[in-house]
Amino acid sequence: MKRLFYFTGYRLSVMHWRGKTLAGTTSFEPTESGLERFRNYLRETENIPGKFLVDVIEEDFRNERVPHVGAKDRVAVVNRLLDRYYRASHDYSYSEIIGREKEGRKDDIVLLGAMTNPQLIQPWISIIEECDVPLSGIWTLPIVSKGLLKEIRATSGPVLLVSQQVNSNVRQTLFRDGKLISSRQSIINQDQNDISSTGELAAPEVSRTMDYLRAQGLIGTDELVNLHVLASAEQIDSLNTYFVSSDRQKVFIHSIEDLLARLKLRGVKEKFSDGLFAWLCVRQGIAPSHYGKSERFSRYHNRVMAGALYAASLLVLVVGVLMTEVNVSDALEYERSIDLLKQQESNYRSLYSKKFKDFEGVFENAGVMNAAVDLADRIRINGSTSPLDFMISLSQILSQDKERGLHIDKIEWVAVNPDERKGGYRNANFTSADEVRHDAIISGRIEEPEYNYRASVEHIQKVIDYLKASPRVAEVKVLRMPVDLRPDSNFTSQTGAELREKDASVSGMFSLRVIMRAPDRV
Amino acid sequence: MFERITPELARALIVFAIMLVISLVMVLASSAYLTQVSDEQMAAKRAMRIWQTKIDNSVENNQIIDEFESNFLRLVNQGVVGDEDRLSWFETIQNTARKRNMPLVKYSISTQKSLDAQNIKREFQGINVYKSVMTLDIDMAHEGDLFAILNDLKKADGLFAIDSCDIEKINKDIQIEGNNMKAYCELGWYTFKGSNAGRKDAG
Repeated sequence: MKRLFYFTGYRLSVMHWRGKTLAGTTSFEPTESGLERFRNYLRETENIPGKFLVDVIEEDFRNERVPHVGAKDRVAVVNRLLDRYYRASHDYSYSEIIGREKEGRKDDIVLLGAMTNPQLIQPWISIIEECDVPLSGIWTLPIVSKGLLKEIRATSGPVLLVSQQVNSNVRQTLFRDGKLISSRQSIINQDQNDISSTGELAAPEVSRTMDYLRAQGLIGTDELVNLHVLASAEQIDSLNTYFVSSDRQKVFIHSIEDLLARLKLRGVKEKFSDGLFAWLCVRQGIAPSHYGKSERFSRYHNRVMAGALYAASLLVLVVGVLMTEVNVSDALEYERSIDLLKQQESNYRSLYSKKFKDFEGVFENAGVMNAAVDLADRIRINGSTSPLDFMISLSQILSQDKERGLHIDKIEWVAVNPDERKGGYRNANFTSADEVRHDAIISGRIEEPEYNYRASVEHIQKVIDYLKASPRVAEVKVLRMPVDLRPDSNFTSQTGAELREKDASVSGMFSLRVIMRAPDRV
Repeated sequence: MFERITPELARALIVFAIMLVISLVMVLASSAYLTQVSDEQMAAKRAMRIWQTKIDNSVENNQIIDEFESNFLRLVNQGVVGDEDRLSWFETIQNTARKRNMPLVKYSISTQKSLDAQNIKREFQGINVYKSVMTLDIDMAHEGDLFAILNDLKKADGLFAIDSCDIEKINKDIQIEGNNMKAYCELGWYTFKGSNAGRKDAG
């Protein structure tokens, strides 16, 4: 249920809405007894929040141009303007930026509005506060009526919305492109029981308003204005007669009955459009109040916050219960799991006792046995890098040499591991997975007659080539040649007839360092 | 600010605070219970896994014993595991020298030393490896004598690898008998013993 306090300048109506249905309306006169009745009504009915809608003749709207400045400065400028125009009713003023000039300084266009006589609503507001009714805001009908433009398809161009909410007044509100420009109420002398002559009474007032708006420059002199008139069935004939389209105005007459039906509003009287606008005000969600300081609505804000807190309390409780439930479920699951694990442990323990307990001592040695067998295998494999393997391989390589005269006199053999960190080789570690290589210095001689150095050098070079070509040999380094022909070495020899008779075997001494791969690494 | 708080809002604040406290107490209490039960479950799981692991290890060790037992026993019989059998080595050298009528075979063996554990790979950390260095200083007719000794030593009880060997021809005119060559070799004899640390690791 929603409650609306609708003030029309004289009496106050209280409307109760249930969804789109107007459940009931009560009116109170601004007399001593009326105010007392209002007070009693508030005290005796459910204290639900309410909105306050004003539709009074004592309202003024004007357009002002202000420099396009930052938000903070703009507030200051607008406040100064409100002070200037509405000093007495500053708390009941309203401002909104409705556009910007397209030329010149491109100033902002500000709509200023205010209730020029807020004392009218003060008695009612005082009673509402006295009865602790949470008031969510005070809205003004001309601005609220903006919500109807979409329904009557009048959201573009200049639109003058003409409506009647009470018997004696006609409200004329000018919109341009859906934004409020100006609004005024005119008094018409209409019979309370016969509203069939509204057209005749309202047309001159509307005409005067149009002239005023054109004179103010709010409508161009020859600009076509869309005149939208809201009317009850009783009023339509007279309005059709007196409101006629011309080159300066295009008239649209909307049946209040049709609008109510289109908006699916029920229980609303069709005589005037007050119910229509009341619903537009009620349906606003969290729209800010047009008039009044926010402190005035603190009771409502408190209630909203209290509602939010109750919702949050419920949420916290639900979340707490859910989390607790999850924790307890998990814990119970764990409890069940513990029982199963203990059962399983007992089974394992029993199985171990039956099958393996007696062999614990034997099992302790299993790892050592495994490692010992593996280590022995490794030493055996690495140990296959031996002088025997080296000499057999060397013999196979040198067997390619078909020339006579090559003699091996000495072999200095060492088992080594390649040293990847420092480069080169280090003494072999036979327990390691690293390759164990042969590192041998082979010393020998080439027998060539008469100190034939050329033949010796060529022969030993051939031997070196055979060694290098073998896949087993990783490196061959010459330590000594029969003749050292390098430019940076010294060389001394002798020749003559005496020497030819001597043993020539010392003539071709050589020394080679050979690194050979392990037998299993080729 | 607080003077604008209506009794209605104050009530809502109190209700919210109470609900918050109740929820917190419920959640914290249930969390504590959950933590306690979770710890108990972890402990039960650990206890169960200890026995499960013991059974798995026993099965694995059983398989290892099945697979390696015969090879290991062979190592024990060969004197690779346990105490070294130096006598067997000396007898082998003596027999070979006598059989091949070798002029002179000098041999010596150093004290047994444990290999530096840092040089032994992690997979063998359960074993203490000992090495005894044997030197052979041989005068021989030809290189076949050296190879005969080395091959015969392979049949002796133990495990060895040759670290170095110098072979030199001392007589350029090879004779059928006599000292044509000499060799000087260093061999490492390896012996294994189990270590307590290794047993723990292996177990």
